[in-house]
Amino acid sequence: MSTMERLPTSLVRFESQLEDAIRQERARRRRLLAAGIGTVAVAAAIGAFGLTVSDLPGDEPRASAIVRTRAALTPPEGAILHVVERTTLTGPGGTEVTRSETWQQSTAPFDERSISYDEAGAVGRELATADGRPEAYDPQTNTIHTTAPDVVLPPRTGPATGPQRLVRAMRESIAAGEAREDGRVTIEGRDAIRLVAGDNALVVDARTFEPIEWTSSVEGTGGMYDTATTRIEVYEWLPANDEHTALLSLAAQHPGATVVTDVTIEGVDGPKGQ
Amino acid sequence: MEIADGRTDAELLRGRGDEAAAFTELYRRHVETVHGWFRHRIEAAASDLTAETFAQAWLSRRRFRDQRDGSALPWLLGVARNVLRASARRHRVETRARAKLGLPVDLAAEDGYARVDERVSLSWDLTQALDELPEHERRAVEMRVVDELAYSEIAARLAIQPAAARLRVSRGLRRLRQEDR
Repeated sequence: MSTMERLPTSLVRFESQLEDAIRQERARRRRLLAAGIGTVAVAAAIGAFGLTVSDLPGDEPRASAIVRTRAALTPPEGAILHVVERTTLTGPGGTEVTRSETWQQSTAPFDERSISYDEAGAVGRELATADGRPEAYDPQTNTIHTTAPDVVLPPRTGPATGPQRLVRAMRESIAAGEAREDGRVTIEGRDAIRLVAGDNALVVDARTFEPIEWTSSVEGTGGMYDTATTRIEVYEWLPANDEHTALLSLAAQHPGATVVTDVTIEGVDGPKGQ
Repeated sequence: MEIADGRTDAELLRGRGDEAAAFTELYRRHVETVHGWFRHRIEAAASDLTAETFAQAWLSRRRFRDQRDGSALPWLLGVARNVLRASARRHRVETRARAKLGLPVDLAAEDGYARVDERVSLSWDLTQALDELPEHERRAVEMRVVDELAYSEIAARLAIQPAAARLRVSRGLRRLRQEDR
């Protein structure tokens, strides 16, 4: 290319260096997502977070906050969890913000649909799992990509990622033992209670005890990030009626979309998965 | 702005498909212009500043807003200006975006410039002083002193009368002289 011929050698070489660096950065990002940063891995880092009522003798308001938080984190039978969350990762690597909206079934087959947004609020990826099968929606071609029906997938035993795993980790950790109430705070005008355990903190609504913000140390990012703060903008359990079940489905949300069975999964048996 | 495959700069930056290849295509399209913009201002550091601009552009690509028919060049030059401004403030070539991506941070040495920070110190001073001028004066002075444009051309670009362009440059230069005392 004539343009590149007029450039200094360093900038000609920089083209491939930049491309390689971007690929490595994307690979790191995918590893973070696979580790569930913002949800799963963050939650896993707070295994010490917990408190039983008996750990707080004679302190009824504290015990009440813990107990009621546990109740708010317990899913009603068969309900669908709807969460909008914004996670900010901070550390030596700078700051990274992700935002997503997710609907997840709390019982088998654990169907789910999620939409990720960029910092400006534009829709990024829309993904789903339908009866264990991964799906992705491409708005440009109005196409749903999924696996072929004859691909054999392992049965799901629960949500693999996402806010339900976070909620479960919070609930279990509260029962484990070291949390304490750390006073009242106000977040975006909401009266809230802060619960802490070590370096981790959970802020819950003082009236409903639903989670508002979760801050935790982060591992597995290669030192890029050390803290994650997840602001839970929407948190609700929806009854599993037809209207809400449709929220889990890409096909229901995009009824005119073409379905293409071109998704392959490494390590999965089947004609498309091999 | 489109290329053979039909994608605009804006579509490349939206990152569908192979993001690395798409951003590299953006680099190929605009690296010469960005490098020329820097070379005109501070030649010894032009390669490093260009590289830093594209590294920073990648890291902040989500802030791009398509306001020029899909072209990312105005946005890239805005990033370039910020990189130059940050470098002037720190009196050394900005490297943070490249360091974050694990990229080389001393391209000047490859181009044969030794100890580039020392060599360009006067230019840093000028850049920093320009940066402290009011925006309308800074643009006029930059066009006259850095880009060496005629007053008629400056007037046309700023949509003002040539006499007003001359006045802006004059005031800006006077302010620079006063700050230099």
